[in-house]
Amino acid sequence: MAAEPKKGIDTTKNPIPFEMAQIPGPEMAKTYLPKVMGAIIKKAKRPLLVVGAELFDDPVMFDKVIEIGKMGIPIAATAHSMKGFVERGYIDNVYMTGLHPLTSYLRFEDWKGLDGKGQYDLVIFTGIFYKFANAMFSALKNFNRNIKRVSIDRYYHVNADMTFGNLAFESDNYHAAIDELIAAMKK
Amino acid sequence: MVVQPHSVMYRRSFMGRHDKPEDWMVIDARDGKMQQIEPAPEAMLYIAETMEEAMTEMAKLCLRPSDNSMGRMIKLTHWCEISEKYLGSLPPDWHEYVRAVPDLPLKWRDQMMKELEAKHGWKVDWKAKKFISGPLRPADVSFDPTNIPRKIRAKK
Repeated sequence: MAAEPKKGIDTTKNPIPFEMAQIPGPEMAKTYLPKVMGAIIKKAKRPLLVVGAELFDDPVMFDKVIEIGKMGIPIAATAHSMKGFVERGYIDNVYMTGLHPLTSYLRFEDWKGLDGKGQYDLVIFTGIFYKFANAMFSALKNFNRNIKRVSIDRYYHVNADMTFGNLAFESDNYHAAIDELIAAMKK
Repeated sequence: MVVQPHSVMYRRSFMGRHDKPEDWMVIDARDGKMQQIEPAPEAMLYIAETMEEAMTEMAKLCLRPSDNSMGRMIKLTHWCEISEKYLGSLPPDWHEYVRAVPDLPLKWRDQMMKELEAKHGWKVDWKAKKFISGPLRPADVSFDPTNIPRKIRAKK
């Protein structure tokens, strides 16, 4: 018999910088429950889901990301994550780009977005190499305060607005948390 | 230059604005006229997340506004092949770097011409194998781009 999916994962626990002693200043990310985060993402007018190549280490996440994409959130496939979407036959609202140019563009208010419909008001990062994602969050934190920075990665991201606590060594809990987030977005 | 993700520690980012055509105007040193060019090279320092992204970006950053058709064809072929191998599809902005039919990689020439006509609205003379309209600028073998006014040889 298949195990019951876990529910009620407390993602607010363990808000310790994933990299040791990484304290960027007085403004640190807050940890949120998946259902709260899901509700906030759902309310956003122009969200963008940014995914990286770490998804190849945890391919289940591709399916979860595609599920979020099917809800109408455009996906920016950075690094070579595009290959994962092509292999799964989902390229409808997936845009191939690099995280560095993408963050560079996100800094500017007059950027028209990947689809030409205007700047985004919320970016969600997942599956990106920790140190790189952290620096890109830092760039947005300092150069464009109008974009809400959300991390649904398994790390506590100090420079995000909203993040999970460290779940890096609890894969099951992390997957359950993402399922909860998706369920909250569907409500 | 393409660097690894740890290189964010250099605290430098030399990126161009691909979406701003006014940033991509250069002087033609032959006669001093201003000329719109494709965004090449787009970045001076690019941080790539993975080896695959680095490979693709390196091939892309080789494109130069002063390429002749043969050079552009080789570079486009290289970039598109690497992108297809590592990223699973052709780059989304390859069409911006095409100025004339000889620029197109031999391997995908017909397929790309069809895509340019159908997807990007370019007009193609199929008999003469020429673009009637669409490219940002015509291919010009002796084009001599510069940003330095003192390099202008003769003003018209």
